Amino acid sequence: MAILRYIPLAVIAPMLMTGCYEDFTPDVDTKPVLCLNSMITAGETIEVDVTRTWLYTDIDSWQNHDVDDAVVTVYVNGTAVDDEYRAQEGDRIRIVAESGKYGMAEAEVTVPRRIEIKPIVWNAELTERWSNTRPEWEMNADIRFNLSADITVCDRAEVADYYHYAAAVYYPGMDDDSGMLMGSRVDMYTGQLNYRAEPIFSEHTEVIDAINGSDPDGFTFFTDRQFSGSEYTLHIRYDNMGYNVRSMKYDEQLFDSGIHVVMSTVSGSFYDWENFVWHVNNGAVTDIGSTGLGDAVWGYSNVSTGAGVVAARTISVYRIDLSEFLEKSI
Amino acid sequence: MTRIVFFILYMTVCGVLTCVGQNVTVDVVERPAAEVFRGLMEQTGKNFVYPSEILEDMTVTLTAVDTPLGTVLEKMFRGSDIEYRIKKDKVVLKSKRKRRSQESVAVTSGVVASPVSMTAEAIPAVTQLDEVVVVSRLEAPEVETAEIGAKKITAEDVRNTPALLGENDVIKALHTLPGVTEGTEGLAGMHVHGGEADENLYMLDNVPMYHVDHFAGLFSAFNPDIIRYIDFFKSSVPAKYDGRLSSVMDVRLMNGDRDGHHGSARIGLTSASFNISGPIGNRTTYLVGLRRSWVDLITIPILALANADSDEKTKFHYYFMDLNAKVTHRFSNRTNAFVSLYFGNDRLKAGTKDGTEDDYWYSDEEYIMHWGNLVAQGGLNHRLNDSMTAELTAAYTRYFSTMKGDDYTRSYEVSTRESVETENNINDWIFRGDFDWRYSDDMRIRFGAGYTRHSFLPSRTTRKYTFDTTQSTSRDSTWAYGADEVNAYIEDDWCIGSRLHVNGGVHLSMFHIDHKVAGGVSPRLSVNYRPSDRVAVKGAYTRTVQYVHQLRTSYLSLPTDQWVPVAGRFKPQTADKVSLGVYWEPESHAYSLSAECYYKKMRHILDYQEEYYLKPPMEIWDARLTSGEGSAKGLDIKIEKMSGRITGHISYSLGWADRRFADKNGGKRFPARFDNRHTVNVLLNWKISDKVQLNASWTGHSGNRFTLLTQVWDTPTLGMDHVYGSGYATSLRADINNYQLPFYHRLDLSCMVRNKRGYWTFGIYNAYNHINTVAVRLSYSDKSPYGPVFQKVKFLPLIPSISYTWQF
Repeated sequence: MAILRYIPLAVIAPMLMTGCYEDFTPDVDTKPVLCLNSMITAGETIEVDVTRTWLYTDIDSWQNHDVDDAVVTVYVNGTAVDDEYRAQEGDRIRIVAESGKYGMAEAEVTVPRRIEIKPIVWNAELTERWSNTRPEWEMNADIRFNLSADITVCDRAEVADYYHYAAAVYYPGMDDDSGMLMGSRVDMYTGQLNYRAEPIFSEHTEVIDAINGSDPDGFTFFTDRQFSGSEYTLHIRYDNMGYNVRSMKYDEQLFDSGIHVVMSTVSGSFYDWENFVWHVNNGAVTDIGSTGLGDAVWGYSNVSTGAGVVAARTISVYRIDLSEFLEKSI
Repeated sequence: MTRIVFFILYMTVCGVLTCVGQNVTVDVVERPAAEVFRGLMEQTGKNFVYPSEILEDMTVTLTAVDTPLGTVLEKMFRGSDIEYRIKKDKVVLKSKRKRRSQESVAVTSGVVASPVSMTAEAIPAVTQLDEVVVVSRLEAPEVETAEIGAKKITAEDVRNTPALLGENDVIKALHTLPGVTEGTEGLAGMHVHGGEADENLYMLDNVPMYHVDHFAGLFSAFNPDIIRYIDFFKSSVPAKYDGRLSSVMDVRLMNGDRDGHHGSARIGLTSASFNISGPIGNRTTYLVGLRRSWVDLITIPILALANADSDEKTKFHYYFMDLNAKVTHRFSNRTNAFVSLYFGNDRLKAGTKDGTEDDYWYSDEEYIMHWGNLVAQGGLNHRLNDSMTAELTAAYTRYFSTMKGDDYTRSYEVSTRESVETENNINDWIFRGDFDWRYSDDMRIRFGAGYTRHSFLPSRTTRKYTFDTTQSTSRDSTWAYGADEVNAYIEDDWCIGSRLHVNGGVHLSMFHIDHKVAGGVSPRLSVNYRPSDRVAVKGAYTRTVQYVHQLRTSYLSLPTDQWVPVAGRFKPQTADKVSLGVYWEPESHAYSLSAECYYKKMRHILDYQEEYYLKPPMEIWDARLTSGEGSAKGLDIKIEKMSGRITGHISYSLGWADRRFADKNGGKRFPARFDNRHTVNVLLNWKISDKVQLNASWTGHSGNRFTLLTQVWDTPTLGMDHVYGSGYATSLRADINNYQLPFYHRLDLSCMVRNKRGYWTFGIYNAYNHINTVAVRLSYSDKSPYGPVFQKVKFLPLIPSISYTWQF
């Protein structure tokens, strides 16, 4: 969906075709400043990446923009902590970095609290089955199925919450690099998350994005703006999931497979950064800005210098156990 | 011999038509001839064109009731050495003596007045009064009016301004005036005294229009072939008008021709137009104008050829059109009525089709954008008594924008269909009464009141997704607003003695929305003091109030732009402007010189916040906006030559414009995008002969302001699978409009060559091919040394054009 592909054809392209680009060096003053990047996860220690900004055309600085004289201090709820400290839900974390060469930078983020979700209601639908009848293999089958799940989030009214949905399959031998168990092999894949089945995954898109056909695929962050203080049920649908098993002997443990649903609460800065990234990759506003036909779009930052992102999240993992379904389907 | 016979026949027919169709009423005693012409002009709509010296010291005593114009003129000039000729839209006066001596004379359009007398024979008594005809309030020379920064633009002015692709345009003609800046090059945006594009009130026959651009702004919605004149106010604004901060542009269409069926047809590189007007019986006239782009006539066969050998078929179809229709009926010399309709729209359809329905894989995507304006109005002009006229108007104005997309894909037996439709529209119902009271020869009072019912639908988007047999539908929160606007004004135009001319008034307005009422009091005062007949010193104060605002995501004029009311936590936008001016015009009226300075303070102006796009659209819309203030100050100097074979003007503007918003640029003041310090405009029209005219327009100005992001920083890895650009660096914010683009300059030329049936127009846009920089982008060099580079984005080289206009 990309009608704006055609607007350039009709309007902008003729001008671009009759125009040109010319390299030049603008006469501008640039003073590097500190950049802080940090992803703080509840229950984990805090790591901060301190670098500096550089002139866009300065190739040497592209290669090396480290800062060797920075002193970083992490404050949790107003108190400085050491590097062994593990972030907790509700912590108000302030990171301050100081450098003799590049000045000072600071950022603050609050680690979001875990939210409650109701038991996941799911349904799997077998769409395709293939099995080998060779007698030496007691288990040798490949199935395709669609999975739908209703995940109900219980939002808190008192704060603005930001969420991130993710999922990953699990199956026996998954962590084995070869994917092989002793005499057996299991493979499973999620197929494709149907992003359009859940409209809240598109809530960040503009009208101009909709017309532009900007693809919402890949963006599973959302806010509670539409359901603050109440429940919201995500309708998750995976099309064409696959499960493959091959074993000389029948072993019901090989069905011990399913999906880990990762429902995180994230900081506003994390949401905004990912939203920005989506717009850069897919959005019309940044496209227009980059051609000079609209306002310039710079990177989102919650650091005082405008460089870097300090984000936080609290991860909750839930399980959809597909073993019974798989056993019946094979 | 045949030509002479034809000429005589032609003149006779014209004379007959004139005598039949143009009756006037005159009752004057010892009045300056110029004043009498003014009255005749109001009654007939014809301009009087004459060498200024032939009317020296002439006064007129004459009474005529419902008498042919030719007869009245005959009586007026009997015994003098003045002869007249009535042409289509003007009356040309010449001196018989000077014609005999073959002297060249300076011709001026307008009126002059001086005492001494010429008496014409009286024709029967006065029983009826002047017919009501709407004329520009800016007919008088600039030294006589009280307004500052006001300009009457005629259709001829528009034709004489060279334009891109030869498409003469009202708004592009205004770009040549000091203090007026175009937006994106070649397009019809307009920024007046550092203001924004949505701060200009565009009116078609006194009714507001919201979206006046076709083709992203390449054309405006005003068909130049049927325009009578445009009143443009950029500094002092009469009390009648309000609703936008920066300027007012009232486009008046021609009335139907009373003298016969006349019209023209024009074809240019991108559009063609046809218009015709004439009488329907003795009392009614009509005017129809149609303009349409015709590029689709070329793209359709080209695409058909291109698609012939390709599996993937490209669909593309674009056109715009304007239709104007106007019927005017004269009930009596006291009462006129008219109904008019404007409908203009753009329609873009594009898409691709891959494969056929029998193939295992098939896709068909199609997108349609359709936007435009509809203005329908009826008006009644009635002379209530000797000195007062009333104009009653009922109108409906609508802007609409609909965008649809449909993407169907089928692979084997599995099909998906994704469709999106978004709407954006405004509907206004307008009822208004305007009164014009000539209290005395020295005082004219205008007053009126109006009511507008607004309906805003800034955005409603519906998305549907169908996967095989399952369908999901989502609809963005719909925010529709109804609003009521009531306004009233009074304006007094008063000549106090022969040296002082004052125009004062006030425009009151109330805007009711969301159970809240916002009020606006807009006082206006302009004073013209003339230390001598040829010199005027003016001062003015103007306050304007704006209740609607346009949200734009780009510098182009796109149908995705949304008009929204000022509601919620925001106050109406206001601007206070103080102007001072000095004007000089010699006795010959051949030249004029003006210098105007201004200071404008804008409050509660709205703009998107920084990073507004990170807030979801269903957020209450005003959460994405920020309110602030702005100021502009400057000096406009103009030298104009108004008569002779070479006419035109040279202007220079010195200006500053800035903005300050709490939620932008860290609350710091920053220069406006059109903070162009120096601007020079030159417009020359050289009438080489009766058949050939050369027009040249040169503009040069300090570059526009631009936000140049010079630094970058490490893109963080926060665990997601997205990749940003190269994946390494992200742009660092910078002060808004921190960079000034290079000096902009451009020369446009056009040449009009007349023949018996019409005229050719040859044009060259950017004649010396200086491709100007319109932006700067961050890119990568494709030549050694490879790597990141800043690049100037340059548009529009030399572009020739040609068009032909057939007149009948």
